[in-house]
Amino acid sequence: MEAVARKNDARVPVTVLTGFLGSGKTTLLNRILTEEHGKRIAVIENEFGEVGVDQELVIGAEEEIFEMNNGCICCTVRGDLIRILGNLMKRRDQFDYILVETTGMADPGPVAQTFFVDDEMQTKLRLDGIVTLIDARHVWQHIDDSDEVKEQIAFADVILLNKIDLVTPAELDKLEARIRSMNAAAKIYRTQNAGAEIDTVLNVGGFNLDRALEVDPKFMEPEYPFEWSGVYWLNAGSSKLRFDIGPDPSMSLAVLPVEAPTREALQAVEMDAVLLFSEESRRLASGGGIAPGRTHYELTLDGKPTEFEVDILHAGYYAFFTEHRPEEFQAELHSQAGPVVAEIRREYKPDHEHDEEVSSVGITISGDLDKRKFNQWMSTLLQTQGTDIFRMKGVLSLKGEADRFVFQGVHMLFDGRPDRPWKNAERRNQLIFIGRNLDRNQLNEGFRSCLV
Amino acid sequence: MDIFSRRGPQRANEIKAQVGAALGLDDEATVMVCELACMEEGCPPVETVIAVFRPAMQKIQFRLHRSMAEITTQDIEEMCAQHVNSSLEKNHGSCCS
Repeated sequence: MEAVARKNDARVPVTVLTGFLGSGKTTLLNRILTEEHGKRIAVIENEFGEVGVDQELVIGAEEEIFEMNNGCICCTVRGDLIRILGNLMKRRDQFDYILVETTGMADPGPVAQTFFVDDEMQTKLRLDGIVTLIDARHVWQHIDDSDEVKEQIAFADVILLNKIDLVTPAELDKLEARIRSMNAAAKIYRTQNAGAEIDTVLNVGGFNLDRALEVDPKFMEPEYPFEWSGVYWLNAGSSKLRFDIGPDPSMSLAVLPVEAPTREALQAVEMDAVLLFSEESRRLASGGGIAPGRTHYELTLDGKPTEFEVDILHAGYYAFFTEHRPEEFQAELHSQAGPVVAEIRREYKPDHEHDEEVSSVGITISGDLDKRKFNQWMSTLLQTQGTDIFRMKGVLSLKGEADRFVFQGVHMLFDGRPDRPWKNAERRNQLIFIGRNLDRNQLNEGFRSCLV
Repeated sequence: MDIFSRRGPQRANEIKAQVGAALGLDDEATVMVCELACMEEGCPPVETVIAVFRPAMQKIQFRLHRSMAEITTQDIEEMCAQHVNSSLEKNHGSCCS
């Protein structure tokens, strides 16, 4: 259906090719230009002059940053691109596709924003995707201290890990994990001599609202501050939570009521637990009482066996979220009738491969959003952090609206519209942010505050 | 800023045509119209940036502190006339770029 939608879209698709010097951009470009794929491609590249290559249209662009507003990156576009695209569109009948090759040091933000700023441009051109090539061997020399490399990774819809013949599989896995921690929404391919299938780099639909959230579902899982959760049936009264000697002197814990001992019911409260763990904890010494609800406990274990009272007012299912796995402390829960076993349990494996600055935050929340509240929150967020939010995509469930609302943006510029009806599907909201210095808890809390 | 509002290209196209006529632009020129709601310090809450790009010439840039919908034909004519006069006086490409 998506392919049909793209076929019916009369706008010219545009792919932006980024990548550091030596990453293989030119090799890929040459392949695209010489391979039989049936597309007539106009290429805008960063060299002076205008030459024809194998009946293709290649136009040189002089990189020209156009700051519309006091140097604010959110209002910065590429003047050269605007001019060239404007002229190119007068020769619309000569090509089917546009490929923009940027310099190794180019910031992809202004390039991408160029396709969003002008209403007419948006009706004629469709930014299909940003493809970033990475030299798998040499990228380590730049990845920590080059803003350009980080941004080229963060903005990408498709990442080609190129020159894989020059590194070991273990090095490649490490690099992929690092890149994944920065941009979890991009599709990553491993290539040698930029030998990717043409279909993986052209017409990828990276900026297609119909597939705004077609990302690896694992990405939508937040980075959990706890390692374990289990759902127990507890009768009204007091139960005891016992710990033996373990590897840590304390353990964070939250207990929340859940509907049922199912994965879905557990999932419904996981975000509450994440938020709870971000709040200040209440220290509790052995013998202290734990009540289900909105308290983040820090149990003092002190390297000796300890016991805590769990006070239950109403019989029901309760999810225990623990900072460490209970096995590490031989933890046990005992009701008055004897040991209680978790009916469902889940382990969370936090990803320890982090980039300190650039990261992705995915949020999923069930329920309907208040349109006014969301608008206000998003406006404030983009006004205050638009510079650091490189890309965002979302599918929203708006109160009173039968259709899904899909949107995506680059810095402060965005494009959104109602999509297909929800029908019987669960109404839920999904948002992805990719950017610098993102505060996961702040984004979670802010988004949650927009619920009806 | 309203994430839920959708604007077509009509108003931008009207402004482009008016700017083109007022400045006597030829086919080689590209006009860009963009409404900004930037909250950076020193920026007005809403402004419309109009830029004219021509080959081998300096770009012309106009800023109007109002939305596209609020811009009148008179605004455009005055702004372009001012640019033309200023260019004649100073004998160079642009007063605003």
